[in-house]
Amino acid sequence: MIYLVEILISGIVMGSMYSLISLGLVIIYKPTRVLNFAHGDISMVGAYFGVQACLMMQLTLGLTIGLLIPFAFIVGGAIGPLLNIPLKQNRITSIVIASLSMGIVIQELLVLKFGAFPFYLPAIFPEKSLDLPVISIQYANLLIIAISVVVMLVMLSFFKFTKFGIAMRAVCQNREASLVMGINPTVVVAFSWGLASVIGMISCFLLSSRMGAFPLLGITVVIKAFTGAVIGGLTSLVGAVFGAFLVGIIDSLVGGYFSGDYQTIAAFMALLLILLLRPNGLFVKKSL
Amino acid sequence: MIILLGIPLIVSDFYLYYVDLTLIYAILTTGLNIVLGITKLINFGFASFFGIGAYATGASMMLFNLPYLPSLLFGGIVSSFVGLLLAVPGVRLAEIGFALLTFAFGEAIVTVIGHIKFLGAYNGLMFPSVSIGLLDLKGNFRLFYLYYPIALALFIIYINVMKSIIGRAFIALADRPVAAQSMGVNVNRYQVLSIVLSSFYAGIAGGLFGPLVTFIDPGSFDIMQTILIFMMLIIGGTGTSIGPIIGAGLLIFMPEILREFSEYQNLIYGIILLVFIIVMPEGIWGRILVWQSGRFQRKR
Repeated sequence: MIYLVEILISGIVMGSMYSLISLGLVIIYKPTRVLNFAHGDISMVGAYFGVQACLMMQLTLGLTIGLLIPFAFIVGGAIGPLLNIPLKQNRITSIVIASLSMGIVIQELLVLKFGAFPFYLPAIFPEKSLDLPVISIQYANLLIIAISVVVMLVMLSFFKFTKFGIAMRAVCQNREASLVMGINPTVVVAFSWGLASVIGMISCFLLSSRMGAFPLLGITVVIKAFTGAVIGGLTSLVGAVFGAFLVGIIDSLVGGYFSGDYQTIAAFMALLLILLLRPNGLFVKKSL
Repeated sequence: MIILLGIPLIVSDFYLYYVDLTLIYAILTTGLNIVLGITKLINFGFASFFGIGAYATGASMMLFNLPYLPSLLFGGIVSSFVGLLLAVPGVRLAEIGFALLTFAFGEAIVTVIGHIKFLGAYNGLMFPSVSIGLLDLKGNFRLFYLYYPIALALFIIYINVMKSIIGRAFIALADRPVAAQSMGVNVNRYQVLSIVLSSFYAGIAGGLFGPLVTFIDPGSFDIMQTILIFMMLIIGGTGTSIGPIIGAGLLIFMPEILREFSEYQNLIYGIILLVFIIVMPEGIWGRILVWQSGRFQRKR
């Protein structure tokens, strides 16, 4: 029973990190209709950046994230418009393949620079744990959940209340009408890619405290994030968060009771099931 | 085409290996062309069908003691059956949904094969030696004369299918799905058919791949392999019949030419693919066709 609770807690921790990446996928998908297969790899850059910054400059956790945010925003904002060039040919195949090949380029660049071996984060997370009557929870896990939830809430309220968030939602709803209203879609696209990269990189940086930074981190994570986003219906922010938590919990149940190897199969099965039963996800009424 | 039969007499054994590989990849890329080029479905798990074909062929030779050619057919059929299983739910989704499903499928199948003990799990499988009748098919020279007729036959089948009512339905449903539907083309059924056909090509290519490399492991049928095949198709020219062959030839021989940069191979691949998609999405053969038709129009 205690084992189950521990697994569930670890699932929630993983889910909170996956949900940031799923959220990024949705933020990019909504205004641009690009399903970003490079999102995992772009986010992985954040893991490398954070780990290297910690190793070389002995930064604290807060400082690293503070450095990571502008870096991520610039990287994402630069890649986004570049990948949206194929969008003008209006071919969904070419956009998807372009984003996938962008992911490969990033992955290979990281392999060339840092090699294929994983880098581990130095101990910048608190190492104590909170002792409850039955089980104890590491403060690091609580911190990860807290950071993720804060980032999520900031994102959701950004979309809901700020002028830019409203502009982004306007572009999703009707591109032409938003053009007439004086919104520049290119800026919106760059901005949404920047935002998505920021939260993706923060999430991967947090993940690297669990599994280190290695070149396949991106692809490992992105499949789960896709599954989460699809469960939520690909256009719903709240749905993506919910879906990713679900994936995180399923993941650690599979990992805890069977083997970590089966996690990709579990992700595929979950994706297949959700696409068969509710192709539009649990949260969206409209078709994909 | 008969002149090409003389290739093994001219080329050295070392390069003959790459010629054989080109033939296999030409079959693969033609198979991918049926979905990605013609019916415009994105199959990110395409390399897994290649792998399923290779493993199924090997398994039927080792477990059922079938001779090679029936095993090859068996591999193709198993692969297209798996394609059918994935396609039936898959085509009900939008394009993005199918791409996602196959992406996850490709990752999952590597793990699945990696846990099947009698197929060697992650350690890989020594492919049994193959023969047709009493003739032992060993070495690049003999394998060429196995591959060439099969590749040629599959190419001719492809050309003929594309000219038939099926091929026209494929083109119509990708171009104008609603119009095709109203002309009596069952869009979903033809999409499934295209996936099954392309998986069959991939399966046959897998069965042919085994004897050439003699050793297969699940890791060689992962997403990088899929990307390689995608690149061949896109660089050669999607939707054209000659393009896949050009792409396969170029990308098989390019690593040989760029041997000093083998470290950067995947990086170069990624960049080339990106540049082609953005600058020249119609590919080399597609571009040639555009030029030709342009000249033709000016003359008129």
